[in-house]
Amino acid sequence: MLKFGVLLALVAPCFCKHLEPAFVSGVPSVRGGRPGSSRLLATATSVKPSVYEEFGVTDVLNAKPFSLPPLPWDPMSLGGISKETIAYHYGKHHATYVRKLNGIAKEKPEIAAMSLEDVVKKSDGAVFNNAAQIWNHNFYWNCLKPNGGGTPTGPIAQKINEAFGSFEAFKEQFSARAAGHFGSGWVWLVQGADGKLNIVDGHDAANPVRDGGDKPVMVIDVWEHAYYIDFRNARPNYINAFFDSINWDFVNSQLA
Amino acid sequence: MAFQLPALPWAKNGLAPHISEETINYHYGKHHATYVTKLNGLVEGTENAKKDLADLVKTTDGGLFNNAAQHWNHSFYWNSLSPSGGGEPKGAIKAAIEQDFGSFQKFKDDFSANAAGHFGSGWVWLVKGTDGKLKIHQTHDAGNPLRDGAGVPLLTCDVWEHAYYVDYRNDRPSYVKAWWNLVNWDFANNNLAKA
Repeated sequence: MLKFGVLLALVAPCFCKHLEPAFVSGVPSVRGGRPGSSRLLATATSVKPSVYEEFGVTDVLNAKPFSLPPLPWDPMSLGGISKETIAYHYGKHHATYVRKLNGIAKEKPEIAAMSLEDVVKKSDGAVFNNAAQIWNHNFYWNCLKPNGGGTPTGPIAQKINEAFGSFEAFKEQFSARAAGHFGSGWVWLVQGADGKLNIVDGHDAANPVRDGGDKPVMVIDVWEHAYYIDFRNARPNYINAFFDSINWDFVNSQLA
Repeated sequence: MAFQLPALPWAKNGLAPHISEETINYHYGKHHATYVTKLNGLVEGTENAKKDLADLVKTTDGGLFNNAAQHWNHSFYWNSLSPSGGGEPKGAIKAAIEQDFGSFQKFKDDFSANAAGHFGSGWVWLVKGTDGKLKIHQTHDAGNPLRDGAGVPLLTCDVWEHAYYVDYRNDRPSYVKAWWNLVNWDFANNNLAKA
């Protein structure tokens, strides 16, 4: 545990500079050795550099002012979601949002000076779209992990029971919202100011941080590019694959 | 009578290699068919079951609009494509494009940039506006020019990811190039004549 914490402390500054504070907030908790958190970031270092070369993203991994965070797991390892999907979803879509936002930041120094979260909160149009899509994808990758899924453990289990009655009821409601979202978007599990969990739909690049301050706890991407390679139009099968790969440790770490 | 999935105006493999049979199997056989099924489920036993599809597109909202408009849009899209399409426009549409955009190349560049740049799911249309001029018009999700008053639709390009992800993955510009190899100028001319 300590070893991972030290490793993380070395790696984190360059990886986390422009991530939303929620990600950064995971860092001290690992340093402090909170159970469950270490695996999340320790696995980030297990992705071979050749993966980023293969995906053609080495230019954006350490780009400034905004960068593409490394994957928290080997892209071969997710099971239901293929390496090809990750190659396009992370290597093309996510990386392109970073390149586009950096292109915008070149023309607009005020954007370059802001944190990613501030850009999400304060901008509109193409600036918002690219910034929010970076934020959303950063968050989405962390919600997944190899051999994840199953019944949640820890505080999230209790929070889910309080808000939805049972995990099964939550899974049913969340899946129905994800399957039913019309057009491109994201379906979020958020924690409101009252501490209670809720499911919200976000259209296109929408992000709860912008929309009303609810705290994102978990997200599923329902843009067609998230599932069309592996599941074609069968979004419900993708939702099942998502549930089989949820990183409950990360979800727990996002609770207020 | 319930709304029906129209027959395709060409064989499922007729658009290959520009758009594959597999894409048509999903896009027409799954996506379009599902919109029709859902639309029928929503109108069954209501006054809306007797209405014209275009009326529903013009007057409804929410799930009913989404399914009605996606049914309309896809029906129009299939007709905007043809195995013998592509190339330079001819007839009245050629003259109108040259008059309103300066040249076919300029129109093509402008339309392609709109199609490549549309953020999220949607459609890019060539319409005859209420002022009589041809215009490029983007609609989001199920948006439709009949509903938003942009004018009379002449052609459309579907830029939902399901339209091109099987054949081109994230490379939407290559799909848009393929669209130009299939564009049905006869259909555009027929629509222009009625506009």
